[in-house]
Amino acid sequence: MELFVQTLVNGLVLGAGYAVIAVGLTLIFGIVGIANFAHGAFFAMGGYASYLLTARGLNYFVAVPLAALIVVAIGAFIEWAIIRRSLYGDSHHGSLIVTFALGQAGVAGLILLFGPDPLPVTSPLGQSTMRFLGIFVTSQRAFIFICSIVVLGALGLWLQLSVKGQQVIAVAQNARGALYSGIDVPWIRTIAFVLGVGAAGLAGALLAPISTIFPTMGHGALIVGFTVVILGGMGSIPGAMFGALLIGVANALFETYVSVSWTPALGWGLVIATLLFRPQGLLGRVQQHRH
Amino acid sequence: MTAKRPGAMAGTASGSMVRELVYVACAVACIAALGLTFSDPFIVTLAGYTCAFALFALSINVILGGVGEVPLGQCLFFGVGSYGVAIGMGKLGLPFEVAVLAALVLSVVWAAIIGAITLRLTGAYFSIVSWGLTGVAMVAANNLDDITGGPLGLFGFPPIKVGPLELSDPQTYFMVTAFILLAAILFLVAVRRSPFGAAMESVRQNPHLARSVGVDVARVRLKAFLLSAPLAALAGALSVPYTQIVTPEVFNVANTVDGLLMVLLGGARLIIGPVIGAGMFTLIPQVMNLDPNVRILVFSSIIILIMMFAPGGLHQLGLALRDRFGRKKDVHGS
Amino acid sequence: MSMAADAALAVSARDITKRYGGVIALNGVSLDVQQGEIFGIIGPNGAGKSTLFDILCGITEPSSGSIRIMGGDIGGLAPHVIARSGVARTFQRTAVFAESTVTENLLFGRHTSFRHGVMGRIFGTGSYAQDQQSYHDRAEEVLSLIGLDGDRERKAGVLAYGVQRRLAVGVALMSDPKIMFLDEPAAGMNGRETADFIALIRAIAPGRTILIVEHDMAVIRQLCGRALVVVDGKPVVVDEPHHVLRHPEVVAAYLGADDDE
Repeated sequence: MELFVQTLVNGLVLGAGYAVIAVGLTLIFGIVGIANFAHGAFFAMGGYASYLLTARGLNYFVAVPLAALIVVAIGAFIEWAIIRRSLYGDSHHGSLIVTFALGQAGVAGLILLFGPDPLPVTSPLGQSTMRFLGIFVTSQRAFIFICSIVVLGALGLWLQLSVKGQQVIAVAQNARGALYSGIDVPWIRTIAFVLGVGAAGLAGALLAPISTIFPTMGHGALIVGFTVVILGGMGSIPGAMFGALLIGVANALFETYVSVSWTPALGWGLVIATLLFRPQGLLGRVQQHRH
Repeated sequence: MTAKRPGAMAGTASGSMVRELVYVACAVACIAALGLTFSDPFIVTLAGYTCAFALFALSINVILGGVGEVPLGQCLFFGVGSYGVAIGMGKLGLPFEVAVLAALVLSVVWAAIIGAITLRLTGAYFSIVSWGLTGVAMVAANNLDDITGGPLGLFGFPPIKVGPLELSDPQTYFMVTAFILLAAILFLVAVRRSPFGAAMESVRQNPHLARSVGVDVARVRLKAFLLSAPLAALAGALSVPYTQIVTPEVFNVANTVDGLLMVLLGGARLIIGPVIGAGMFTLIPQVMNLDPNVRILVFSSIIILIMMFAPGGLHQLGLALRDRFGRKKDVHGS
Repeated sequence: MSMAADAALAVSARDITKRYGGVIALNGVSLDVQQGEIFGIIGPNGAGKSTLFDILCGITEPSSGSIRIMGGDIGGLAPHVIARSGVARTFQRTAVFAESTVTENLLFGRHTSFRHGVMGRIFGTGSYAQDQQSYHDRAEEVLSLIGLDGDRERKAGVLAYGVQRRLAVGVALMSDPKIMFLDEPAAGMNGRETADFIALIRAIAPGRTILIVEHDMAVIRQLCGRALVVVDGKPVVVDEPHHVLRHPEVVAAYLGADDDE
């Protein structure tokens, strides 16, 4: 029983981390309208940014938000230079290929800059664990969990309460209508993209001390991101959060009770099942075909 | 009268038929010449492998330039072809030809299953799922040691023969792959000009409108998928004599990305575009000795630039140049 | 209504409702269109006209109600099956295959009736030759009808808007449909283009049933024998255009837009 609860808790903590990645991805999909295959690269950039900062002696807790900001800046540049010029309104496959190539280029760049070997990022929380109602949680994971909740909560509040946030929601529901209401849709898209990749970068910085950083660390994040987003419903933020927790717990349970080596296939299995039986995801809306 | 493009059902006047036969004859002559002139085994086998990979790129283009989806998971069928041959020859002792046939059949079966599940999805969904399946395949190949040899893969094959032709001889290998490539090109040209080809094109441009003129969009997509799978599997099978080993890496999506680049370089609208791209893709790294990561960086950047400025690849650039030099034709609306 | 009378109806709809989540787009619309009629559907924006149109030609399933085309129930049939049974449709946006030439567009409209396959193409069989011939004959007819003889090799995407609309009608004509659905065909056309378009529809109308959704009242008045007004998802009146346009509820719904708009 204790093993079960422990696994459950591990899963929830995993899920919280996934949620930050997935919410960023779904934000971009819902508002910018592209499937961001470069999301994993931004995740990795966040990790590497936190490495650079802590290697310079900066306190880890300061490095994390700074790393996220660095990724935001990179994201803004890429949005301006590439995304904006080639992808908005693209109904064909261009966005897929471009973001995929961006992701590849990003990883290759990281290898060239930092080398292919894993690098450590040290967090003051180190290896310490906390004991909470009989359950062990490493302090770092607890920190990740708390940060995720805070960030997601802040995002939710911003979306509900601020003018820009409301505009973002409007654009997600009906871009054309939003345009006609005078909303600066291109600017909102920029904001959404930058926020989305910033979230990925933040997740990378948060997860860096746990797994060390390596150039292809984003690959797993990307797969998890898409798995969660499809499960929860593309474009739905609550869906992404819910899906993330579900997948986190499912992964943890599967790994503990079934098999470690087949676990990577579990996510894809869930995705396929979702697309077969409930293509709009658990919380998504059924797509209306407008022509 | 402006010259007709080889579009669906056009250009069958006897004049252009003769012209096309001349092209084919030239291609045959070139292949024979290349095969017999160069004797450096390294170059010749590489040329053969290029032909095999070009076939893979062609299979990607059946979907990309055909119905307009991005088949990130196409390396799945490539892997089926490679493993089919490796398992068939290595474990079951089958002759190469039989193993290839079995692999082709297997690929079509898998394509039917996967197609039935995934083809009602379009755009990113289809691409993501098709990519995910390669991930599952890689995990499976890694874990099913008994069948696939696990992470180390399968190797140590007996000399590979097609009938009396020894594929271990570089020149034979090149000729065989080149002629198979040529046959595939001719077949795809005929498909493009058939009603099915027109149906695919209408689906690619405007699925909604296509539906309203009576095109069964789902069925067309499935048929295109079923057509592309054995081509990819054949490419995978033909690559084994070159690589001499088959590992789970064959399912790596990076292979599809390479194939995609070949398609985009040459131009997705042109049937032989992927072949041109394949030639450049293998030639350039040979000429420049590139660090693999620099290669990825450079090629990815090229893809981005292509998609931003010339999505039609070299084909589009070529047409633009030709228009610039005075021929009266409508410029492609972009 | 007797079976014989039903068989004479080109399009017949009973109690169509359509709900999207909590929104009721259509609330009990019924109509009967006789064969050979030119029938209009008008109403303010958001009134549900396009939804009704989508349902009538089989692209969307209604939440409840039934549709019969030429006496046959189309419920549950796939759109392409309906298309192949003699029903054609043009769309507001994305009306043509923009990357293809005019003749290629016409070809797309025809090729589902081709009998030959890839092998026929390679070996030049008899069925291939027949298909080619019938396609060419039909294409010539349609090209002169829509007045695009001289534009055959031009890319559809570079054509003027009004010309694209004519091409869209041409594509729909290639399969010689018995019933045509035209969705706001005159949208964005100027006076001259609209007049040409009206002449075109008059020329192709004999032997066909045509349903038109339109905002341009001149088109409705000059082409349609009868028109149905839909307001807020409900049918208001079905009558000859000049009666309909004077109906008090219609006038109120349009807030005084009684002439060309």
